[in-house]
Order: sequence, then C-alpha cells, then structure tokens
Amino acid sequence: MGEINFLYHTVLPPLIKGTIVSLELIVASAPIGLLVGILSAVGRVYGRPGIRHLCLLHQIIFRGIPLLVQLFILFYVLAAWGLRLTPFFCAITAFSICSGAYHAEYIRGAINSIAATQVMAARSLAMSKWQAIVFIVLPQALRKAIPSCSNEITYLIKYSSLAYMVTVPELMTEAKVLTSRYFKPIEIFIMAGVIYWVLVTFASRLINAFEKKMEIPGLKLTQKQL
Amino acid sequence: MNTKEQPDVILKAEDIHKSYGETKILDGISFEVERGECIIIAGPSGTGKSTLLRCINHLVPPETGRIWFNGKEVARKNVNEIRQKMSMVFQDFALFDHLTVLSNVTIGLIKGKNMDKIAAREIASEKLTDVGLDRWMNVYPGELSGGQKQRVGIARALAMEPELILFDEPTSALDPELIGEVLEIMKKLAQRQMTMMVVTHEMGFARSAGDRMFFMEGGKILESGPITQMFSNPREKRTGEFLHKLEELYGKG
Repeated sequence: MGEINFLYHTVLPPLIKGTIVSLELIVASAPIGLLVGILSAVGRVYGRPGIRHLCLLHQIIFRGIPLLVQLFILFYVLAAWGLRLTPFFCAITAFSICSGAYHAEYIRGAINSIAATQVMAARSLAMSKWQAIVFIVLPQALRKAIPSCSNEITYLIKYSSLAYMVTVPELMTEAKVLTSRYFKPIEIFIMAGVIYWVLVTFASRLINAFEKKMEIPGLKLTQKQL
Repeated sequence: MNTKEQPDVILKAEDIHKSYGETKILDGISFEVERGECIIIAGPSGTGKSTLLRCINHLVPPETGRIWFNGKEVARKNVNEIRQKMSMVFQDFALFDHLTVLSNVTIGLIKGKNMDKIAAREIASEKLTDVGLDRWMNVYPGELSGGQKQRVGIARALAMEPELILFDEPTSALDPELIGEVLEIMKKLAQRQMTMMVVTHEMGFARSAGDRMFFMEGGKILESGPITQMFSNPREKRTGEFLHKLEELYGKG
C-alpha cells in the first residue's frame, strides 16, 4: 500500500505537470506542422519550379536528418552562433517543421489522387488556379489524408519526448528527474509509458471521430466497399 | 441554322496544333462556329476530340494556332473572362463531391464570377429546376445516379449563362437507361438555340439536334458538313464507314 501511496502522491504530480508541458508542445506543434505540411505539399505539386524545389528540399532535409539532430542544431549550434532560442521554442519549431515534412508526403499523395478533371472543371468555371486548389482540391485531398496524417500526429505525441534532450520540462524530463531522485526507474517509466499511451489513444479516438464528422454523404471514404 | 445574311461567328479556330511529348494530338485544326449552332464532333478514340474541346477554352493551351471567341482572341491573360461565357460538361461529370448539388452549381458563380451568394443561389435553383433536380439541391453528388449527376453537370454549366457550351462525351459514362434523360435536356438546349459543341457517339442525338458535324481522325478534321449530308452522302469513304458503324452500335435514335 505504501508503494502505491508513494507513486500516487510523490511521483504522479510531477508527471502530470510534465504531461501538461508535453501537451503544450503537442497542441502547438500539431496544427503548425499540419499547416507546414499543406504548404509544402501544395508548393511541390502546384508551385513554380523555384517553390517546388524549395518544398522538395524541405522534405528531403527534414525527413532525412534525425529529429534529435535537428533539435540539437536549433538549440546548440544556433546558440553557438549567438542565436539563443528558448528550449520550448526550439522544440516546437523542430517538431513543426519535421512533422510538416512527413505530412507533406501524405497530403501530396492525396492531392495526386484527386482526378485531373476536378481542377479542369473548376478552371472551366472561371476559377483561378489558387481558387481551384483552395476550394476544390484541398477540401477533398485533406479528407483523404486524415488517416495517414493521424499516424504522423501519434508519432508527434511520442517524439515530443525528445524535447527532454533540450531541457524542456516535459513528461520525459520529469520522469528522468524522478528516477534519479527515488531510484525507481521501472515504476516511473511504466507510469510515463502509460501516460503516453493514454494520450495517443485519446488522440486517435479524437481523429477518428473527426474523420467520421468530415465524411461526405454518399462517399464512403472510411468504409470498405466490398 | 443561322438565317441572317451576315453569319454571326461566335467561335473561330485557326490551325490548332497540340502534342503531348512526341505524340501529335491535334494536327492543324481550323473551323468556324456560328451562334446558335449545334456542332457534333465524332471520330475514333484517340483522335483528339477531347483535346480540341480543352484547347478551345484553354484548359489545355494549344501549342500553335489561334482561337477567337466573340471576336476576341483567347489568350492566357483573358481566359477567366472567356470562361465566364463558355462552359464545359465532362465525361466523368467532374462534380465536386465535397459540395452539395446546390453548391456545385453556385461555386462557379461565387468564385469565378464574383457574384453574391443570394443571386448565385437564385440562378442555381432556376437551372436545377430546368434539369428537374430542384428537389435534390441539398444532397451530395455521391447520393445521385449517374444521369442525375450529369444533369447537375449541365446545370452547373448553364448557371454561368454561357454563350457556348462544350460537351465532352457527356453520356459515355452512363448506363444505357440513364442516357435518355441527359440527351433530352441537351436536345432542349439545342432547340433553344444554345451554341453547343458536342463530342458524342450518340448518332440519334446527332441527327435530331445537330446542325453540322466535324468528323475527326488523326488530329485533323477529315470532313465537316451538315448532319444529314454527312450521313447520307459523305465526301470521304472513311466518314461513311465510321458513322454507319456507330449507327449499328448505338442505333439511329
């Protein structure tokens, strides 16, 4: 009983505090990451050659370099050059740009799956290229991309733990501090793991519900058509 | 069908060429269309019929050659102005699946023509009534039959209040029993002197609604002339063979 009491009263509160910081990281980076992904995908499919190459470069670099290295570059290398960013800001920036690079590929795939005549039809109605993209292509492509993008968001929740490497006081950092103070790594890391699992499960449920809500009547995007 | 002394040319094309990579699709197409005419475009597949329609409204810009619409040359900078008066109906309907039937029809007016929503709605419901779909305005395209979908496609084209409508095989994706409802609407439009260019294999429709036919092969207009003459007394042997083959397959209407 003493053990459970200890975990509940001594370990859990700091972990919850850390979880709140983790949530702040996630809630800030997920939408920015998605936005970066949309821009990068649209730029790569529809942009002029310069923009297209820039977006391709974004995807190549940020999918090619480990996120931890990106974090260290932002935090330590830029600091050495005199650009001192707060750990929290560094983490959000790295997460958003990296997450966006993955989202971009999912969204690009979805954009390419939209029939070419959709854009033609929009253009034939005197809509501009950008109107066709914003009002016709993206609303359909983003719906199709929800399942893949949800994958990326669950990853984001888990790799938010990397923020501990740049001293953001998030869940993993708190768990580390607690283990060095109380020498109970198994219990503490299991608790941290369970909290991450709860966050991921909750997020998946939320996204599934959102996907259902966005379903278009008559088009069964999520149902198997057998 | 124009009875005026001075022919009123709405569309003129001069020596249109288009290739995709090495493949030549259009190989020097020239023609004139008078206001109120219904032009049938027929020919074997792969001869550039769809590409020709797409070149006319610059969805696919031609490589060389010039096109005039209402006396104005169609160019990159004025396409949106031209497209406000020239609409298109697609083989695969190309309805916007994420929008209701009503929004499918209003979106061109609101975004393409900058019309306010109330006026757009009014026009849209009028056109949807014209095609017999006024009771289906708030459903999504995925909930409609193929024939209904194409009627929405036509209503969407009509809502732009165009002077010319391009039909790209409007019935070839439809089940046989759904073709009639679409052709009926197109016949009515032809009777109302709407200028139309229709790529189709429906020879019954061609005979009853068409004024002239362009027979295309190998990226060229091999022969053109009044519909009846094209059927009864074609100049080219190839034209006669092809049209009679179509009539065997699709019936005389």
